[in-house]
Amino acid sequence: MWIGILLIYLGTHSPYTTDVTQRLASSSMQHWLGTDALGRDFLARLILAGVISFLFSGVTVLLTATVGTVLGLFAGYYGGLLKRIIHRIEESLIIFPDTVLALVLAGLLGAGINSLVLAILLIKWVSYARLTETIVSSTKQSEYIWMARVNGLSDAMIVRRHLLWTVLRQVRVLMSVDIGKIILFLSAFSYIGLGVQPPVPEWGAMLNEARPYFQAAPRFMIWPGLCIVLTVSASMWWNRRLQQQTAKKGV
Amino acid sequence: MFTYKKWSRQTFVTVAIGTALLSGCSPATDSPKDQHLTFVYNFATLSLDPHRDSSYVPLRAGVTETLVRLDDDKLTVEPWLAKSWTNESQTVWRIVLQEDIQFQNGEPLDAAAVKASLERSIRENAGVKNALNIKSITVDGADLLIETQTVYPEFISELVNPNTAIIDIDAKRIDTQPVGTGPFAVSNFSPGTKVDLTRFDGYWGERAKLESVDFLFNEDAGARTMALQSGQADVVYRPEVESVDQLKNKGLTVEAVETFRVHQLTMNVSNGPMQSLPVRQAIDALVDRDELVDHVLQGYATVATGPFIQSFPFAPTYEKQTQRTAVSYLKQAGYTLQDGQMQKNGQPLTLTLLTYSARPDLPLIAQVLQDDAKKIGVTIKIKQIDVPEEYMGSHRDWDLATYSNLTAPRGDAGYYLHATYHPQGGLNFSGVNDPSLTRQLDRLKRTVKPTERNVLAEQIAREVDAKQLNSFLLHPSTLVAYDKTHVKGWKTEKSEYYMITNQLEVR
Amino acid sequence: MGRLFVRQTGEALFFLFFMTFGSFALLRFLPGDPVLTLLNIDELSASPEQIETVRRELGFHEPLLAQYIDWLSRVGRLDLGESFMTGRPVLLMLGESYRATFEIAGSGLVLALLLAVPLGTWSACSNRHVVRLTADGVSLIGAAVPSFWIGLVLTDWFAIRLPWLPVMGRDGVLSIVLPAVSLSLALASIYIQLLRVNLQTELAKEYIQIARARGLSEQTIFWKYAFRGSLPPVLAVFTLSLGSLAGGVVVLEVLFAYPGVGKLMVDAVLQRDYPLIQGYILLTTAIIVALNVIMRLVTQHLRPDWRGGGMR
Repeated sequence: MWIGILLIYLGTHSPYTTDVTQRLASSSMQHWLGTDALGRDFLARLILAGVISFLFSGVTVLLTATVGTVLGLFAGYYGGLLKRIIHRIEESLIIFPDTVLALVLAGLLGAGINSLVLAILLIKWVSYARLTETIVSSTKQSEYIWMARVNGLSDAMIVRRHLLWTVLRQVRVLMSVDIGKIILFLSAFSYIGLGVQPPVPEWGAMLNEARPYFQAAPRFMIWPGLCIVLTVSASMWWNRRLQQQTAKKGV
Repeated sequence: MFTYKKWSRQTFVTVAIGTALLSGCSPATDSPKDQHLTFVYNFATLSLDPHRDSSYVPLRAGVTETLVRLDDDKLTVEPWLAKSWTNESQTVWRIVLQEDIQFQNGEPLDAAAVKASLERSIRENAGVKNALNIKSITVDGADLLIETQTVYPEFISELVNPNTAIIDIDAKRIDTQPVGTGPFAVSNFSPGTKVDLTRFDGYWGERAKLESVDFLFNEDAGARTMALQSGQADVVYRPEVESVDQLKNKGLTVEAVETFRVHQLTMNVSNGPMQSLPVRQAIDALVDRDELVDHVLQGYATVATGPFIQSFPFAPTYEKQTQRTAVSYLKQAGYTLQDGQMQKNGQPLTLTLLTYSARPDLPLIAQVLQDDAKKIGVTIKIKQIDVPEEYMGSHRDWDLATYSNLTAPRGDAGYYLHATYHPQGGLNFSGVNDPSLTRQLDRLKRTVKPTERNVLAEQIAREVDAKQLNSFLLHPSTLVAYDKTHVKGWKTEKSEYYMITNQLEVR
Repeated sequence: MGRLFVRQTGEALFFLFFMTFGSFALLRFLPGDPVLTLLNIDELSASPEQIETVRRELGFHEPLLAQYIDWLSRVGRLDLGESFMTGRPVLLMLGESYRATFEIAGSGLVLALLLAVPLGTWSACSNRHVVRLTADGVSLIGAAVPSFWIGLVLTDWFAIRLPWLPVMGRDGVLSIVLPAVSLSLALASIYIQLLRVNLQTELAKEYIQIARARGLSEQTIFWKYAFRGSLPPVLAVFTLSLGSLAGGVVVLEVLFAYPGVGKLMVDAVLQRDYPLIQGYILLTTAIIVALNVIMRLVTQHLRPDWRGGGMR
């Protein structure tokens, strides 16, 4: 319901419309959280920033998880040379810290969202691939897979029927925490100007834009920060619940 | 389970000591000197090489000096290290140097040293090489003979450029300890943080009143303002605009001086809707300059009528035209309002506006413009770019761009007009190729006499206005804040070149 | 051990080659170059021909491989070229900023460990509610609150409302406090969790029970077996964060205007200062690779059975 109210608010207040006569206005019936330095509705910008952060994070996580899971499935199921190659790539990538890689990519490809997505993808797929591979190679030995094979099921069928769901349940746990982490990452890079580019709102970018006005209006500092903290905490909380659920069901 | 009481107590002692070590020590405080000033500048330079550093810190800090300088009141070029100059022929200049000048290391400043320094700046800085256009430098007794590659009337004014400052090129570590002729010498440089300056007692002019200066860099306006309020700094360049009233209430002086910079809308006249004169005039009429000055720059700017600030002798006075609205210009261009959109032959008027965040005012101006255009049914799409010169130079998929230019940084109009409106100009992103303008610009390039140059430059500026090539918005002001009862002799210059001088003192 | 070292070094060198050549190629193929900034086009005139001349002088027209070999041979002589922005040697500039980064990163890391090691170990072996809550609290703050926001809030309190500490810049020990504290909270959270989980796993293992049955003192069991046994995964993450810190504490450096290597890189990226970007990639990769080689050797020493991996 809260989300509904917020989305209706976003629908009725444009986050981009500037009104320089209404700069830095404080809270009112019209602008619930007041306006920013350009007279844009602050709450509308906060909400849109949230939507953008979720979309960015969601899409990136899905992409990463897909790449990682597929490669992990191959490595775990077939093994051999393919597995060795994938391991080599993993080992090279895993030593790279995400911030350094994002900085390097921004240096090579220019500042912006593309460099960030690529950096996250390059770093994070490894954990999905490793998780998937571990599950696959341990379940592969189990009796029911052997039975399935004896019964003449094709590789693709076996993967789809028996392995995929086990894998996805575990992958979901990892994804839940990564959503929060990626939102955190995006806000940090937007803060230093290497992420979401203006006028598109993003919590980190909004903090940076409003820095000169913190003394006059502390709400510019408090709200975007709180939004990040709450979102990331929610993602962590969800992760914990999924972990407990999965533990109960067993693998 | 077991406990580790003893162990944990030890750890906490360690933590406590560690924390005390890390946060408890305070920096060594210098004993306050009588004539010491702390200045905070808004750009953090990583190099002090006077020929390379594009933030001009060595000149601004009073370490280096150029052959000629720009007088801030008359806006004319005046002698400095050069006593006088004459035109020997169309392309040869004789430069007579001041006598008895020495560098901060005691070496004398003679014609050979000046030649070596100019040659180094040409070698080190491709921009200077182009701007000076020098073919050869010869030492002729105590004078210099400089031959330019082509007839080059701007030559002397180009020597105002801080990157042509005269230094002793034999000194070691030019990038951190440059040796110039100014009233202050560098005693220490921490890249990106600060320069410590001490008085040079052998200065050729009047000895500086200050004994030492801390020239700090801080790129955050809020932090600079804080430094002034807490007494950490004496003079602060560009304090935070929002806190100006607060500073004034505390009895501090805030000076606002207009600069040679113009914020403009660059128009792509080589393709798209901006080829049409009435459309360009409509965009120009759409801009509410007073609103931009008051609300985006909070009053710290002056409305621009053309590219040059009015105090320049070559700035035309524009007659007040009858105010026509943007809509009427668009009607003239054949556009009509349909379904809330300005359309011509069923095509809505949609413009792409480039902006970049290196100058924070520009994206704001772009957004205000986008909003104003929407009200009359014109869609403006804002595109954020990184390096405007690079993008505009290599792409034609835009119609408008917010841009900012120094229009006469060295007191001569030639650079801006030629670069922006000549087909061969380096900043001609609009794609202007107007035979009449080109002819006049070529003539300007051959005209040596200053008075004639001014007449010609004014004529060109008028034609640019009539043809509405680009739209000029405002001249941003520079703000400087300090305590007038404490600091004496500070002058906020329009050129923003000369900051720490021998005239400064503290009470 | 020796053979392992040789193999690791060989791999590291190949990796370095791959990274530098890859970035070299990418930089040259992408559109745009720093010539206009270099010519200070905002203030000085330059014709299209003059711009083209500079481009040629910088060697942008040479074949890629020739440019790379030239660069590599100069790297061999410890010459990383000159920065386009300042004309100063890249190695010198990187050296200066690594020092600044080290000041923040080093003190942040020390603070983080001072916070994490007691909290992590204590909460692993204590049932006291208070201890768990404190550990959970600190690690939640560190994990969910962005370090730059901690930095902003701390600045607001301790530098502006109570002007005890400098707002920003690099001026003495006091200016390190705020960035270091902001950093340490984020780092501590990782280590508290990691230490606790690994210690608990280790303490639950059979050999600990055996040791206890043999009558070894709790102190010995804890330090000699459990703590030591739980170190490798912690070490792996520690190496990762060392590498990450070596790459610059980007956000905090920008926030506090601290002239470290991360801030230098952000400036270099925005100005397209190729020699500087190239030098940064080379040095940072080298540091990270070296750290990893060391980490593996140490791990081998600590627990010969433990093989790589770790978690992010």
